[in-house]
Amino acid sequence: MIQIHDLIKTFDGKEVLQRLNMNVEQGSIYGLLGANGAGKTTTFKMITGLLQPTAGTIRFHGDEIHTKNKRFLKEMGILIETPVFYEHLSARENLEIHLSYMGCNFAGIEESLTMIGLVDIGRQPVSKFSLGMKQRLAIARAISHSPMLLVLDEPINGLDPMGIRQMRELFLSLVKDRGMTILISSHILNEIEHVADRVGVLVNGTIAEEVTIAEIRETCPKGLEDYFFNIMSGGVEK
Amino acid sequence: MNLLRLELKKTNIKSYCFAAVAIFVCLLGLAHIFAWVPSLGTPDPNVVAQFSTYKGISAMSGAIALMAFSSLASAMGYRYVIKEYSGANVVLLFTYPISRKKTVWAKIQLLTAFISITFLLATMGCFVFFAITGRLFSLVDDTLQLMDLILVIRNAFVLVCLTNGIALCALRIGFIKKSNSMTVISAIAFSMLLVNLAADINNSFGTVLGLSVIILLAGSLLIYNMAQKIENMEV
Repeated sequence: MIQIHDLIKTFDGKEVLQRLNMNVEQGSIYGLLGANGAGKTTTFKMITGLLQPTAGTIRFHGDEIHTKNKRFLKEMGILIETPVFYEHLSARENLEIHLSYMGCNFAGIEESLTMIGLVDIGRQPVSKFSLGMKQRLAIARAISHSPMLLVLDEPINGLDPMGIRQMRELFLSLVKDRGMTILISSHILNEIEHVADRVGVLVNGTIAEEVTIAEIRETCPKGLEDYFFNIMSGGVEK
Repeated sequence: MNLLRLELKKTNIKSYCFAAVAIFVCLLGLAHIFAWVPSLGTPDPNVVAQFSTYKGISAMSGAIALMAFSSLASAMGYRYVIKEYSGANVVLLFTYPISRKKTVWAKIQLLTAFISITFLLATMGCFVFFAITGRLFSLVDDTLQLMDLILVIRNAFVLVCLTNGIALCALRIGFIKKSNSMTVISAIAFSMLLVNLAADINNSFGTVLGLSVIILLAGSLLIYNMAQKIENMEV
């Protein structure tokens, strides 16, 4: 679904991403991992057309993504950085605005709010929501227009343990039942291990390793956390 | 039209409506205070002439409305245009499959429409109220004529253009640093430079009209430039 080829991004002469190559298969969950400042958000921003690559290409269903080409945005549900809302409006009204911009009818609102457990307070103004509730609402917004690809940057930040479990189940069901593809980043490695099919580890602006969770379990019996720390310290212990 | 409707839905316009009503009340109060000035016995005949006629008092009110609405427009412009293109707000806005330029112009249309409507209602409404109380309580040593009303309408339309022009220029300046204070201070500075001329609109109408057209055009060009910047903006 997403093919990234030799992607380079430079900010003020500094190469943040250096010849990054990545493939995300349709109907899978891809976990993008890396230390703070590794370039995860930059990669997500380029995939969603918020940033223009300095060099290299990003293809979505074979079409090259460009900041001026907006068609692909209809097919993406995006959650990058801190979610923002029109605080004086209710959760439903925020979703209505989102769906209007996306050119969709409001049929998905009820279902999305139910999926993330906010259906009972959907008419309350967002200003009364806690950080975790806003994070849930941001996920509801991302899925409300039934996109093919979800790009989620730290989507479980601020969620309580129940919320994290609920989101995990939601992500898995979106892939299984709706055939969505999810590109996710998180520092909670345990959660990535639970949901992702494949992970890529960003080190020094490039993908140092790209493996399936099954392969990690074979090579690293202690799981993703050990695998990740091994990569970050310079090699994989087998 | 759809974009405009969406912008209106997103906008919490109530507080700005209250601000516009407050400006209207202040204008009305000031118009009555102006009418009281000649009775203070000032020796300057120009001052007496300015404050003892309906057209003189309406011109003064118009000049004050220019300052007040320029400030309101700049504050509103910061909230609904500049702030939308800064921080996390811009990430949300840019993830929608819509033309960035069209969105900018929809926001500008909403801003200018709101300011134009409230300006016209406030200045004309203020004049009508003042004319009624003026006649009832003989506040002004002048006879109200149809020409006075025509002058008020004509001046209000010209000053609306000037107000919007000032707000657009201030908006572009504020966008450089994405700063609220820079936007509002620019609007206040511009309107302070023009307020004397606006107060003398009955005597120098041609100059005010010419300046209004020039400033509105300059403001529109600056917003066009801002829209271009937003079109190519990376976040």
